Amino acid sequence: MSTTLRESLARGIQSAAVPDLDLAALIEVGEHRLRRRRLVGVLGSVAAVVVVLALALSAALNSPVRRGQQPVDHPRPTPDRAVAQPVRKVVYNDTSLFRHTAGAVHYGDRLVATSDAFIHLDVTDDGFVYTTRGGRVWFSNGGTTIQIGTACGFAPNRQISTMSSRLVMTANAGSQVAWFDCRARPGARPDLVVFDTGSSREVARREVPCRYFCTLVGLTVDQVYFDGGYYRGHPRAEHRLDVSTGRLVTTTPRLRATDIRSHPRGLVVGDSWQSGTATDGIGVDFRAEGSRLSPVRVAYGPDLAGGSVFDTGTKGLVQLRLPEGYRSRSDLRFTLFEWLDDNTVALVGGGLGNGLQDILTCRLSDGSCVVAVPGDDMHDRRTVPNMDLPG
Amino acid sequence: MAIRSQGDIADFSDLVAARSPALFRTAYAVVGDHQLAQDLLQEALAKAYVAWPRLRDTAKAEAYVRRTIVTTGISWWRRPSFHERPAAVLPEAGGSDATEQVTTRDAVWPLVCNLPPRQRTALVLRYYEDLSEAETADLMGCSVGTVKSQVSAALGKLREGVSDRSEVLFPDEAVTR
Repeated sequence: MSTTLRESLARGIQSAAVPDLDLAALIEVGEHRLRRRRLVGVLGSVAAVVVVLALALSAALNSPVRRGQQPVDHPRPTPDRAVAQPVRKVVYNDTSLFRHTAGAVHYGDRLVATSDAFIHLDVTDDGFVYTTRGGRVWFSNGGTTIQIGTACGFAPNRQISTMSSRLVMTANAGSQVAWFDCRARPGARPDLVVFDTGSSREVARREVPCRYFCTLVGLTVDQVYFDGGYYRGHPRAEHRLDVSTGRLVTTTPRLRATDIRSHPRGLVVGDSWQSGTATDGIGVDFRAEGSRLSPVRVAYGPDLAGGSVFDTGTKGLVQLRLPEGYRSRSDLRFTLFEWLDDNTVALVGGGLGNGLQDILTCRLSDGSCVVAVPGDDMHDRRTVPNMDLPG
Repeated sequence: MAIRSQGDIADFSDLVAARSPALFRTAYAVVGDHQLAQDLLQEALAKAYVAWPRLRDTAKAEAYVRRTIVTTGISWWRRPSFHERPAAVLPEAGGSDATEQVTTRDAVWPLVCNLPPRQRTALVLRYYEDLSEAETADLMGCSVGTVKSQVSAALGKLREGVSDRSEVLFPDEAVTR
């Protein structure tokens, strides 16, 4: 039987499943662009006024009447960005994961013993979260430790293991922690669970389309993003759970990037704020170049040699510097692993031993860094939150 | 607080609900990839949201989105990064057999997907969307002559890709065969 070209085209085009569009996110993107356009207009007007005033002032200062007067010594303006006290404490562990024994987690100036060797470590505004073998998820506020849930992995046996990654995750700000739970309906699709460590209660639970595999890819304020896993190709379809409404929608990495750009505690890495890659900042690698720390790689992304870093909170350029007097070397790398507040991040040195496990805390506003926790004479890998742990 | 009025947002939501399946198919026809088509549709709808007060009625808004899909899709294709996408599964080793030709009607779509974007877009707008040459030229932002040459080249490549035993009737054959 013959068929026309139109019928052949229609068959090919209509074979593509029509996706559910995230209308709320679309409107949010549109509103964001409108606000940006309005802001650009206002800034343009202000800039024009400033130029006119500057020209007028310059003309007045250079007029014959003023020339004989002594120059006025204007005081230098001081930075007006208030530096808030860090909300989160630096969290790390110095017990080797390879020993598979109970360890202890440093939480600020406290040392908290863990009941078993943990396979995941994360942090919220209220304390830290860790996961032990069997998928038990624990929360500690530095004093009390409680089990807050049980997470599952996926194929082949749904057990979470030292090879699992991105199955339990927290956001860079706030109290929410998310994981997949397979216990509610054994053999069926898992639930995505969101727990609030501030109020100590589950705030969302939703069955998700992850029969074979899923990984969490990001949490922002009240939004949990997950996809079909790193090995499902690119670009990957993503889903988003809106914690406040309980809605589960299909979304894209592009919309997630827009979401990241609209909140503080994110970095845009690339040539400019407009064209760069928006990331939550976790896993961004910096390489020492003299006293400067230059971004070289985004987690799960390509190398970015020569790029710049911009703060999503201020849109300003971030230029981190090694602490004064710090011994720099060409192969020295640091990885961002935790946001302490909107202006402060923690980085850990890469490599094993040789004192390269130092934890630095850096202020984005002026680029200054200090050694918060020295890593001298370490031979085991220092474990920090938000990292894929070794299997 | 939203900049657009509640009435505008409601009208925009109605357009998305009613026309997004058809608009998605246009986007899919232009880029030939499900995920990219979704991104392209969202980008076009976001632009429509920004331009909403100028669009006035739904028909005009749909035409605006369709035009944006076509022009944005073609501009994406021009980016160097568009052509390099890591794949989860490596393609089969070895080239295809040159003597192996397409014989089934269902295999036409992969050939269409391999056409250059402007040829594919012109072909789809003419023979799937049933637009005239003038309407296609208007949508693509080019002359009628360019549309004719793009469609002619596209049909030529499709004919080369299918065998004599093909069950597909091409436009100039459909009348006579």
